[in-house]
Amino acid sequence: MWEEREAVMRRSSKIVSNPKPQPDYSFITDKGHKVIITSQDSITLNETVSTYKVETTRIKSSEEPQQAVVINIEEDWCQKDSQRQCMEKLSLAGEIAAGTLHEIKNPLTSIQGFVQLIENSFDENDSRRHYTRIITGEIERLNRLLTSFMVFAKPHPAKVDSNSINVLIEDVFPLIESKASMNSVAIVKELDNTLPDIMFDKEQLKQVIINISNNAIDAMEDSGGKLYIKTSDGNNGYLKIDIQDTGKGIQPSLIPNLFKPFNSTKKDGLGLGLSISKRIMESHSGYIKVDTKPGEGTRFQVFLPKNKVVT
Amino acid sequence: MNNDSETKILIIDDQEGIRQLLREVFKDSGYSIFTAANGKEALEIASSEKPQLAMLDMKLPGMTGIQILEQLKKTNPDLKVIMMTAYGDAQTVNKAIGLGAICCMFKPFDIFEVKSRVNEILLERQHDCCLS
Repeated sequence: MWEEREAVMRRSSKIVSNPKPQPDYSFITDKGHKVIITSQDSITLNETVSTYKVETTRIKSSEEPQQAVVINIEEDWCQKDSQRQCMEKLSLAGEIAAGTLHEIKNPLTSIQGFVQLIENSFDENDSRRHYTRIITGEIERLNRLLTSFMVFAKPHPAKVDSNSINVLIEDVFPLIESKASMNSVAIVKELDNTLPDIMFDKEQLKQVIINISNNAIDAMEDSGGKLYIKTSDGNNGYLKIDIQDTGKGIQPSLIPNLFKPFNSTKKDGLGLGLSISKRIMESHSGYIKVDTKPGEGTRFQVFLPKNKVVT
Repeated sequence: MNNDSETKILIIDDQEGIRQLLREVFKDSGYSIFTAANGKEALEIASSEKPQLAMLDMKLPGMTGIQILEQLKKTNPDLKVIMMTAYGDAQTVNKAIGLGAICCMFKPFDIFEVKSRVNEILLERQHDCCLS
């Protein structure tokens, strides 16, 4: 056992002096977590489900010629603990939301069906058909909302397969071309044909590319412009898809909340596109980077890890 | 009791509104409509009435739609089954198709399309009908 001559429990740290490499030293934190120090340079926090390794800092004391170790565990522990609890809560909230949204679709089916029956009972020229059509239209809108919420609350499990990001872009192209054309936006593709196939869920990545491209086109709706879609090797262990527009750019005040849900500047926007995209990228161990200049345009970079290359 | 000449449809959904709706939809179609709110009722009616077609919700209390489908197909392999779901979960839909369901309708559906597809299936004109 290490000799605990100067063990001070503070809010976020514990100092252990004279840390000679000896068998495991352990103590209980004020939160009841058992901490096991396994070496001079690291400690292990043991919990029923997880093990965390936390860096320590060696210090020298004038009174104690030998080194002491400051173990900053509480903050890290608390952070990880709350992250885990937060993830569990989010996951539970997602399950509840998905279940609730699903249950709403049942009464919606009955409402839509009976409205259709009512409408059908009116003569062709009956003015009341106008009302039933409004109801039907609103039901369709509600259904679209629910479907978007469901994707956000509980994304479909990924079907990861070996895919080419260039084929992905080619597949997405027809889906964004008409919107681009309607907004006088020209799409410029620059695809690196030497890139390897990598593992990803094509449908989910399609959604990411469509979401970002649609935003880019929306940013140019008044002026028209160019949408550059480029694939390349990020040279950082990731393949990269650049989606760059020549639109109005994103106001700096909006950047911090860019990927947060229900955050939209569009008239009928739900504000879920980028948060869903971020979630999808995280589930692929990838990430999204944004550069923007107000008045000049925005570049989104989507990074997908290469490490699961299929040959 | 069991008139072989009439076409019978069994609607299996725990939602009263959906059962009533589909009854109304097929009211004047000449089919005999039976409804069940759970798997137990569904299997009893399927056994006594021997319907030609079943419309089966995926999510039910007790037995799931998939479990009911398995039982229905076991006792009556010729039964045409249309699955109904509000989830749109591709894996479950594929499982149902693999177990012999003809197609899946995603809620909320257009009742006139439902009616027309059911007619087509009963006339064996069409076997793939995914409505969304």
